[in-house]
Amino acid sequence: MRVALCSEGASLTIQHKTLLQTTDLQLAAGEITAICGPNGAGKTSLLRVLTGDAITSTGRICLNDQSLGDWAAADRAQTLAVLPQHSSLEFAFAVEDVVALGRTPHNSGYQHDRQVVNAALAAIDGEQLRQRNYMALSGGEQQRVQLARVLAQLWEPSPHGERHLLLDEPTASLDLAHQALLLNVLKNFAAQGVGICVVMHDLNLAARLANRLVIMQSGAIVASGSPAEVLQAELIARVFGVQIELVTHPKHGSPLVIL
Amino acid sequence: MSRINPRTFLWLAALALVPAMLSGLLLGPITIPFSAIIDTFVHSGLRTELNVELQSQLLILSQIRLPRMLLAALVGASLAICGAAMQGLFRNPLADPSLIGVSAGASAGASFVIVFSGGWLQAGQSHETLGLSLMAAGAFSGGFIAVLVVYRLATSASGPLNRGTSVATMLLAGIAISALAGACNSALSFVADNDMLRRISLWQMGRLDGANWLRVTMAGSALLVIVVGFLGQSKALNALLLGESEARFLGIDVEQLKRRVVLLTALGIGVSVAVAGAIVFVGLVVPHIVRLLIGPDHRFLMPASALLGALLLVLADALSRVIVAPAELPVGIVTALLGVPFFFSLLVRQRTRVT
Repeated sequence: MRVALCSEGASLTIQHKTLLQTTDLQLAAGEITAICGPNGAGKTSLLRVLTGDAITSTGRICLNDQSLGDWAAADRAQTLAVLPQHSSLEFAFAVEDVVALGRTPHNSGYQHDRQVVNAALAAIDGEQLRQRNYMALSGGEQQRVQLARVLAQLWEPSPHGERHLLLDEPTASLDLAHQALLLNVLKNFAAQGVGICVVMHDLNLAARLANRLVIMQSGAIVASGSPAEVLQAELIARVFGVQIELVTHPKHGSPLVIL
Repeated sequence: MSRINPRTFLWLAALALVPAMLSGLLLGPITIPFSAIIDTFVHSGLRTELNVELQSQLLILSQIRLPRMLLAALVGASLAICGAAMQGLFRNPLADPSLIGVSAGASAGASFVIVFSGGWLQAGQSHETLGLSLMAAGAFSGGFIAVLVVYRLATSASGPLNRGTSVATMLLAGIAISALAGACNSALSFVADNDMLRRISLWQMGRLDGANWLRVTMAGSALLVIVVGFLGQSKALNALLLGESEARFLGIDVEQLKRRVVLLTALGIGVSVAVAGAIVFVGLVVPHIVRLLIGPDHRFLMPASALLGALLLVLADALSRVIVAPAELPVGIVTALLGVPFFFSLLVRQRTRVT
């Protein structure tokens, strides 16, 4: 297992409020890690620390054997991409121009970038959106376009080491078909050696997608392991405060949580 | 989307600038025939052979109309490109230098210099270069402080998770800055003598009738610097429209970008205010029209705004000279009359989008 993005004792305290306790976490290239937990458990804080969006109060984040702060901004952007929960873009770009923004850290030329943009749009079933006005899209369509943007950012192997894609609730506004599409896209990317870390609320979707499940509570990691190891009725009851039934997916063999 | 190809639009705007500039030369209290312009260029070395009427027309053209038209074009271009960049920085199409207090701050800075530089600024032509440079420096400082304060207020108020710019805070901060700058101006007017008063009142209201070749040179140099500077930031500004964090994830040095845009904007607005006073709404109206026509990509938005800003101000100035001829209206009044309806329609649209 090649550890490529890791948190070494990182914590986050903002205005005397500890959002993330001292945390060790390793994310490997080609592996999909899902982070789950109740609201306010520190999932987004962990993601912000891992991506360098928030400066750690203690400890450090290591990307491809180098401290996150020591990276040149453009090099780092070629290996680490982030899809935030909400997008605040309020200008009427054409969809293809939004996706092309993902090519900002690369100097690969207009023709090449255009091919990558088209391929990324095809990957999210968005070819017919190409010329549309981003502001006129539905929330789910905007979410898919933003996904295409981060895919375009990491489309090819980087000379600077393993690539990592971190997503904050990417399925929140997607319909069933596009949730399935998203799972496939992420699995394909992982198969190409991209390390994927995704914050999710849907435990069943997480169990289907991830190699590893991380459960958080009150700013700390309380369980980590394969979905079958982690998803236990006792743990769920303790962390989420609800009684559930566990069955096995009839086709995939992954655990299924039933409320 | 039915938009014009950005490159085509740049060519069209540049082409449209030619007849606009010609009309800027020909229109005015004394209408000059087109042939006089040709004569200026053809006979510039042979003035002795010309009759008296033609000679006076040539004098009007070279000493009054030409510098004035060029100053209008340069100031219009500066204001529009600064408006476009500032709207990118604030990620909001309502950010206009005159609305968020930058122009007010700059004019307070200029008044400050007029009053405290004492009598020797008025000593006459010999000190004009120095005086104007000092005034530009004062205007630059005032504008710089204003952008900085408004930006800090408007972006920190929205908290760490949602880092968007708060429109309400931005406009309120603009009102506060404008009020403070107005108070400074009043205080300065109170201690100023008659001549200073006349000069201070010039900065409250944008006008181009003080145009001369020195001002043209100054506005031209400033425009050159800010165009080159802004175009270098156009890709970064595009990324910034996604949000500050997102721009960082795309490898943009956001702090450096902000510093540069703030400095360049203060320079553009400061020099514009020093040479022509506070001309309002050009920085709001022009980038907005351009965005509707060719989209928000800063690589095209900024040069196209510069061209259209030049076009608008040249036409507005020509208009201001013929509406009440032989008197003339300060051009700031014309641009305000054009800009206010635009601003209202933008406000209404923002309201409907938020609620």
